[in-house]
Amino acid sequence: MVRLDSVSVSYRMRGQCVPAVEDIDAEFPAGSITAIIGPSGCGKTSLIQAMAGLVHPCSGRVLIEGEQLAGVRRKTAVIFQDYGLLPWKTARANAELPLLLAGMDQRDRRSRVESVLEELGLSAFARFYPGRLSGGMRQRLAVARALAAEPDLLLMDEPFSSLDALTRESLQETLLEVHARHGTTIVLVTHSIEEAAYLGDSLIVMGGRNPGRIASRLSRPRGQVGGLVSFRASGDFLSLTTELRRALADGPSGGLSHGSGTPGPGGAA
Amino acid sequence: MRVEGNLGKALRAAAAAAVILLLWELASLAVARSFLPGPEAALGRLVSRIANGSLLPHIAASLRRVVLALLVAAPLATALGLASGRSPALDSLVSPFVYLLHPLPKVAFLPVIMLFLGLGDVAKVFLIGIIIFGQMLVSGRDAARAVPRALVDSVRSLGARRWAVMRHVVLPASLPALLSSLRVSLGTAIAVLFLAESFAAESGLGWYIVDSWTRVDYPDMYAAIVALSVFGLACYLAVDMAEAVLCRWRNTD
Repeated sequence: MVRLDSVSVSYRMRGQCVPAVEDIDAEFPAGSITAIIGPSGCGKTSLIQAMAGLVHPCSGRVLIEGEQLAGVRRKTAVIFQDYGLLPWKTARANAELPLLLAGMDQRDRRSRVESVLEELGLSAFARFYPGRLSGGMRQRLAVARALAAEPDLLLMDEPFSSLDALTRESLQETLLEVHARHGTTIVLVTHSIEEAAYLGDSLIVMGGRNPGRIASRLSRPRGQVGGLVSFRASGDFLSLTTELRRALADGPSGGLSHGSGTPGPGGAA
Repeated sequence: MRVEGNLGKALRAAAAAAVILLLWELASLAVARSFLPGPEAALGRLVSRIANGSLLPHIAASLRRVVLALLVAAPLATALGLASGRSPALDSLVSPFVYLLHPLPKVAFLPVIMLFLGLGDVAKVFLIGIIIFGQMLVSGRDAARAVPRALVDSVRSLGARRWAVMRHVVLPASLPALLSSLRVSLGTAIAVLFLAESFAAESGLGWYIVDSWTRVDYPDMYAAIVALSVFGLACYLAVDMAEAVLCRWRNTD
């Protein structure tokens, strides 16, 4: 389980300290998928970077399994929108990188990565450089690299936003399959309302700018399981996206009226 | 397709060489003076000098100077360049010196260098070395600085520390820029080599050119000029080949 305890993050720009997010409290239960959604500039990425241990919060604590995070953690994997893969390493070498950095010997790396590439349908492309792969396959490879390290926490920063709609949906399915198999805790930053509604067990809506704050929290209607194709077509899905859209429009001030964890109107139906 | 591309490249280079030789021949016929012999005289002399072994020690001497300079300067410049590109503190220390010293024509310091280091190989290697060093230092620094932050973050998130980030991200990302600056600086280095070898030397292609000039043996002079040109071309090709092997990922699309 991951807990954010009034976390504030700021970054330096031209020598000045700019607050990115302020006073974030949140809990991410083990095995859950949480979608963080908000307009650009609301500090989503800074929050992910703090959870990854890439930046230190200027106040507050990030607790993972009860321990305060002090830096990058082996069991946390991060998937970025772009740039995640090294163009000069083959697909296999990219996927092996976390294991190489952990000091695992070549034979073990090979066999672990072999099965992960297989799982994501990339075996035939093991020797390709990322430049030769399509956008969808590249993000598949990014997922494979994340899984190679056998993480218990998977952080994703707008992972599918540069993909076309069909590829994005197929990768969402892949992600849910991976989640079902491995039970990894997933925190996903997105600016797509549909993606947040489809993937998230719970949803955190952020708003404001420098610093961003949590505007409201929603959860999936009771009784609905994320990722079923039928859910995407259901009325519950529609009302959840409507509610999300309203919460985003309200921003940080109006957010409180939506309460915390209350099921959407569709949930009662 | 790659092979076809390389073959095409080789054919075009051969055609260009043929045109140059033709122009040389025509110029030699038009001028009709002993100081511009035709290519057949120069190339014939080159072949016979290589066959009887009298030119080889000079080629070897020039090659040794360039390779030594390269072996010392390139790793030092790469290390310092990449490190200062990634460390603002180091950069603020190094950059003012680079800014002031880089535009200086190093070759003008040849007399000073010879006064300090003597007339032997050390001075020549040093001069060529600082030229390669300066060029690669600047390109390495700029390339390392341009590595996207997100790429570094993604590898850090996998557990890479500073050294691993250098090895897996910064160095491979900067390699293309480092190799092109090496290509440029080798061209300059060979020009400077000629000058350095024409002073107080007893070996090297530069010395050979000046020596045959004073002996008024023009075919010999042109033979050595051709040898020095081919030597430069070979350096160029060597960098190209290194790039094809080390930066294979760039030829993928």
